[in-house]
Amino acid sequence: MAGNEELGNIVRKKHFDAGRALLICISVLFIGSMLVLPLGTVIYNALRNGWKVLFSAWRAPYTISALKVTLYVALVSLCVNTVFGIAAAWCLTKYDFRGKQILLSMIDIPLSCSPVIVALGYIMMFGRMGWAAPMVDWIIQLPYSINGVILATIFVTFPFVVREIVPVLNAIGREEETAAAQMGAGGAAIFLKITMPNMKWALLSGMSMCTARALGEFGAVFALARSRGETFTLPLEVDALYMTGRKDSVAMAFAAAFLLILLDVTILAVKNIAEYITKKKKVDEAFE
Amino acid sequence: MSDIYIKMQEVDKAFHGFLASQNITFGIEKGHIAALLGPSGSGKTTILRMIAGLTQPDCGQVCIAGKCINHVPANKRDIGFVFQNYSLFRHMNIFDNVAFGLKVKKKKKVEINRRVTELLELVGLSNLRECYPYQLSGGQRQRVAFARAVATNPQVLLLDEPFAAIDRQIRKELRVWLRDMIKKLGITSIFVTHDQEEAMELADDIIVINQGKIEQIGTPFQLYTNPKSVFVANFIGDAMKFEPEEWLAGFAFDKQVEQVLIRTENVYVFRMDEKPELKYYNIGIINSVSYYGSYSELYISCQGKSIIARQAGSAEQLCVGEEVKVHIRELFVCFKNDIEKMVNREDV
Repeated sequence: MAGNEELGNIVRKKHFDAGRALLICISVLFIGSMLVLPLGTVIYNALRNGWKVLFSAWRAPYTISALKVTLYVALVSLCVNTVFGIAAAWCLTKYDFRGKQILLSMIDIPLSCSPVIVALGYIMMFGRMGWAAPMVDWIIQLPYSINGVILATIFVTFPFVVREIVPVLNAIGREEETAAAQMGAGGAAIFLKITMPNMKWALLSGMSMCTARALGEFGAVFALARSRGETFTLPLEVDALYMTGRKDSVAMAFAAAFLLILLDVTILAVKNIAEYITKKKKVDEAFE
Repeated sequence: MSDIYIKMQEVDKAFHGFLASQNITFGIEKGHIAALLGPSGSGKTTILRMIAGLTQPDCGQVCIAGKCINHVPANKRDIGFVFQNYSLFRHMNIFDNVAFGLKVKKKKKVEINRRVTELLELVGLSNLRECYPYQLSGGQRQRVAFARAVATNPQVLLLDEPFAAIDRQIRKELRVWLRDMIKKLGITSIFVTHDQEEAMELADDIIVINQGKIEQIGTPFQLYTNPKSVFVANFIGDAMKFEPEEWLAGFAFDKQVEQVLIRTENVYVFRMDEKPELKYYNIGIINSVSYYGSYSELYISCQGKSIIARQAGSAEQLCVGEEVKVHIRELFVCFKNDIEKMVNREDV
């Protein structure tokens, strides 16, 4: 913080700083036109016909089904990713082993690789003609079922939990855990009483990012979900409604989109609160 | 040596082919405070961690109270450990930090409450029980770490560089405090340090470690007055190093002598008109004087060499440029693998 202030003092001119004003203008215009305006348009279109239309659109069977599927998929992938995310972060920060760096960079694959491609990969593997299908068919049916949708969502949202908690676990180090172990605490007690309290806000932040992404995923889910009213999530339903082109359908699409926005805003709020608390804690600790 | 409580017998430990500890053998009596003293990287912390069970020795035995504990896991060894940076639990207040070991051992709530209150009183932090570690000063943190380490009444206390994270100013005060505290509890303790002054002040026994090996074991007095190796003579107390030349009046050296070590307190300085009966001395000129109050340090140039001597602060001060008699009462002569004390011919 002090560094920024110093830089400001050096760069700042006495009266009017044109560069500063220009940068602020550009940022505001960019964020406004690229993010706020489109979202505003969607919200405007959703509310334009009044609350009654909005509520009746939300009560449409397809929308309700899509909402259920979306929440179900998000919840399952959140649980799976939280458990595996903690496990992966744990082994990446607490142990030293060969290929650790490779594993660490592999976790980022879902962020850099198009989800559709991976969804296609799943179909090639587990689809009717897929080579791995015979191995898993008797347990679980993957393509074109809710399980496939969940699988795709898990893939896309995997990095968020790991990426949030790895830096925190690294910063905390292993000292406190060693101390607890030395005093006789077992693995579970160490995790619950030492590690968890230290990383809980980072974990919560990662979980909210994971949920937000799970709610909004389109590409991978699109490749693996085929039946409206059964495996369609809200983003797919919005797309389906809009694509019909009929006036009432388009209105319903906006209503469904508005629902999605509401969900996202809630999660964003949770995330920001978590971040605020983490930051406040850091500031407190900086006063050491 | 009857009442040996902690014992290490021919312990070796290697990390990736690097021998961190070689043939470590020592015993510490019950109730004693021992220091593992050595330069950084000498392997002293490794020894401490092997006693604690945080590191496994490659061979040899670690015994406490006559029982070999090599295969006892760290948490069953009944050892309190004060970590280098204290490793206090940052999300727990002071009370919970101290109570942690007791809670893990599933003690009754009333008992935990009583013990923690008692300990916080003992270390003088009762009023800070609700505070978090980041709100405390370094010295207070050390006290919490100490209270936490002894909460379960361990038989052995191990401390890894207990003063490293503390300002020089309050170190001295804390040393006295820690020593009193350990003696009060009568707990057999070993601490690691690289500061010889700290080791001398706190420890009953000092184990000097260099490059993974024990150089010498003894009381601070034994180590200072009777070092068994050149390393110990250099490491414990300051010593001036000289080539074994014939200029030192009152001494004659063999050919095998490689180095001569002189301690400041063995350098006696007299005015030219003092001590007419003195036979063996060199004449030097005072180059500079630093006055510290209780004593002053004289930098004397003598036969082209620089010698440091001390003078009582209350004595009539010698001046820069003055000619003086320099008399060395005793010194250490170093051979290739040995060291010997030599006294001035005149003082034998």
